[in-house]
Amino acid sequence: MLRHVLTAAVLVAGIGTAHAAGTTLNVGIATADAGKLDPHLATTTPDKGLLHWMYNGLVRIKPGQASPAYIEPDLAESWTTSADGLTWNFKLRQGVKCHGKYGEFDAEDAVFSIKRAATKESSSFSKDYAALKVVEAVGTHEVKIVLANPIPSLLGLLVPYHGGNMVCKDAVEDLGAAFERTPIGTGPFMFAEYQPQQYVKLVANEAYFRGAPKLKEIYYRYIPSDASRDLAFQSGEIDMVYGKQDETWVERISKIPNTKVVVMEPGEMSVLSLNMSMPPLDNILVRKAIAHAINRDAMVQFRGASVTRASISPVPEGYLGYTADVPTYPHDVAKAKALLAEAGFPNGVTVKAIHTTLPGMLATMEVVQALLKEAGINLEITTVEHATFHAQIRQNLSQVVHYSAARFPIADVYLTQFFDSDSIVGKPTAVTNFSHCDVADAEIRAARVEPNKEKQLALWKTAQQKIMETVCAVPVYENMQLWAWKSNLDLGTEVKGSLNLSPPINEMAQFK
Amino acid sequence: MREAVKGPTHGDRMSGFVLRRLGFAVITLFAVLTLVFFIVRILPGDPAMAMLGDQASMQAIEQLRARLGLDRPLPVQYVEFMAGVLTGDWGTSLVSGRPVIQEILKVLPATLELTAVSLLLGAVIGVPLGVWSAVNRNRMPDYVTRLASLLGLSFPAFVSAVLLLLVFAIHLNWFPVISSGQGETFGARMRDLALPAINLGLIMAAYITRVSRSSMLEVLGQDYVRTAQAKGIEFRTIIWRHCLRNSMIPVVTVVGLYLGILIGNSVLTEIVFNRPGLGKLIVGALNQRDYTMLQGMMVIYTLIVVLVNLVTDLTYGLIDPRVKYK
Repeated sequence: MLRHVLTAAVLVAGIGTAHAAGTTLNVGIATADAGKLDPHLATTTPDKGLLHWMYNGLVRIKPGQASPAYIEPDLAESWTTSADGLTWNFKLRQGVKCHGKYGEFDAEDAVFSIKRAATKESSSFSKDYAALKVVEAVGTHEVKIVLANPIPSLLGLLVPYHGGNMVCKDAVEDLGAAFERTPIGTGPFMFAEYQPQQYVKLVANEAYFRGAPKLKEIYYRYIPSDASRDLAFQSGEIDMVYGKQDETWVERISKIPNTKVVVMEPGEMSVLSLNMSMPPLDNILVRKAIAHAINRDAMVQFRGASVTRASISPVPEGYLGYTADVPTYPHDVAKAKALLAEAGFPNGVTVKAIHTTLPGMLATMEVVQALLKEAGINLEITTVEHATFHAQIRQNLSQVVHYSAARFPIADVYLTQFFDSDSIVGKPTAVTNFSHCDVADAEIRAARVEPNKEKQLALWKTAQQKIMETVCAVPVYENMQLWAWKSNLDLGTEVKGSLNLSPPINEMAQFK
Repeated sequence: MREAVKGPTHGDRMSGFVLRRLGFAVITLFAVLTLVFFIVRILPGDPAMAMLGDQASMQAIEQLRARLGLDRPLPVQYVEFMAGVLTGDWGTSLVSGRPVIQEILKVLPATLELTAVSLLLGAVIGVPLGVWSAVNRNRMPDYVTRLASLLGLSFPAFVSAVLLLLVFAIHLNWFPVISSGQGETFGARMRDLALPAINLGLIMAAYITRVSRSSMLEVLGQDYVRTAQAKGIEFRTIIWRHCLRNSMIPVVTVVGLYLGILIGNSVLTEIVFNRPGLGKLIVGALNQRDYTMLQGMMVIYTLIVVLVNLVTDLTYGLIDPRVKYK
């Protein structure tokens, strides 16, 4: 009886799940609110993931892939390059429309967009574009780019990722500061509405140059609580959910009927940087002992074999320039102990680490601690809140830095940020070189400007070998990107990876 | 003929009291703002780095710090901050770039709505339950009520929230998991509000039940209650007409005090039910070291607490005419 009364009351109150089934996609993402929705400023995973569905580049990585090996035409139909690799001409597609009232996308827009991405005030990624000397329109549908020096991949800078997203000049100028919350591009979906802390609504761009999208609306919902996000997926309120990088999540979410779980590239690599400026880690024998004490197979098993893979090189697997041909340090406790004794620490040694309290990362570090203990290495961990962790490791305060990151998948980016001596923490040019590694500077810098692809690959290989010989850092494992969606949602392509970390949703995506 | 001595009227005393309390409120606010300003800056972690992401170079971070004015001496920042608060300019969010006050006002109604309804629910459940429990002291209803309220006090808000979602949103499918808090019709709005309000309301009810019970027990022991019973007045009338009003002052005090707890729990409740409000705002601001936003939110929270205290004090007079405002 009570149940009937309540049901009636609920119905009277206007309940009844209203799902415009078929053409509306609801996505749940793990953050409290939108940050910056300007593609040249957005740096967070949730923001980039949304912009992914609204923008094009001059070229793109084939949907469903994350490697620059799959670059194909996007807004540019074709391109030519000079023999020295410095001058590039891009021929633009005719008849591409900017969202809304902003007219046709032409060379003027492309030039404006690239220059905007290269300008410090309007872009978070300006330093990536420092080598671009000339960017100019040749007629209405051709763009010429001249480089000051060769760079690892110009095309990589023109895919719809970070500064490579093409914005429409009229829209940026017309909207001014409002552009940050009213993104206008040329992609399959257009910005329609923003509700603070709730969602961004996108609608189909019927004039999309690859054809009108089959989905008509996307609600990108901000759901910071992991439990609620999964419950909303279970109740059918969202059709696609951002996953925790954790095998237990995969097991849990897979139990919901009609669910497809997808593991995507790029992997986020967990690396232990060993601070060579501080004793006892200035001693290579101690660093080698640490490398031998880490049991990668155990780590992978701990994180879950379906979402993790072991790492051996200082560059993540699948990045352009990656090599597996590096000195490796198999798990061997006896050898680790012998190395320690040889280094003058027969009774073991203590190293200190400052670490974030983020549960996922901390769990990994605690397993590392247990593994090192077996070899007589005592890892003292001081935990601090995440923002504090980032500040303190950049002040050179930690002997061991556990860092987890994914970058644009070209070896140069990872090598430069983590192993070029210019990037050593504390320097004005510092990025994330926590180990004070400087043994591969020559190769990293030569490869950056090497026009010959073969030679470039060889330089990157030598750099990785030198870094592993010196044991600047101990790569541990890579965590893949996880998403789940309803199995009746067909994205029209097999999804193996996504540079922007969200699944590719374009004109082909539909409910079946 | 003697001249009538003109004393201050009740109205005069009342407005004098309100003015004095407002004066105290301003001083409290000033002290809290000063504290907030410095605490926020003592927090380790750099907002410029939080904004630029972990790939930014030190040069870029320094430039952004300069642009945000974070490189200037603290006293200069402090004076500007205070002047800004007074003139209604609370600065712009370091993250979204929009005015702080606008961001807060956009979601404040949702939090106020949730808090008000929960408080009401807490009172509607808590007061009768407390009275019932007191009247049946040391009998079954009393034991059950005390146990239930103890459970309510010790249950973390985020756990009860997930349990409510599991039962009512997943198994029974009566309510949505995602409460937009912005339903267009009254019905839709209530539907969004129901689970979060029940979650908070039950916690509040637990507090109110316990205070109502002990306060009522004290009143029941008074002489006038015995006198009333001796006169042959029906027990029910004694309870509801005489005792209830006399036992309400401690309850009002506690409700005023616990509003802080309610707001704290509303942060967790908003996050789990995915409801817009101050809770989601402050969590985001903390993670990103959004100084200006955090400051603005502290101002709002302080204002709310100061205002609630004022209202609590004034309510005493409504309940008990003997209360004098001095």
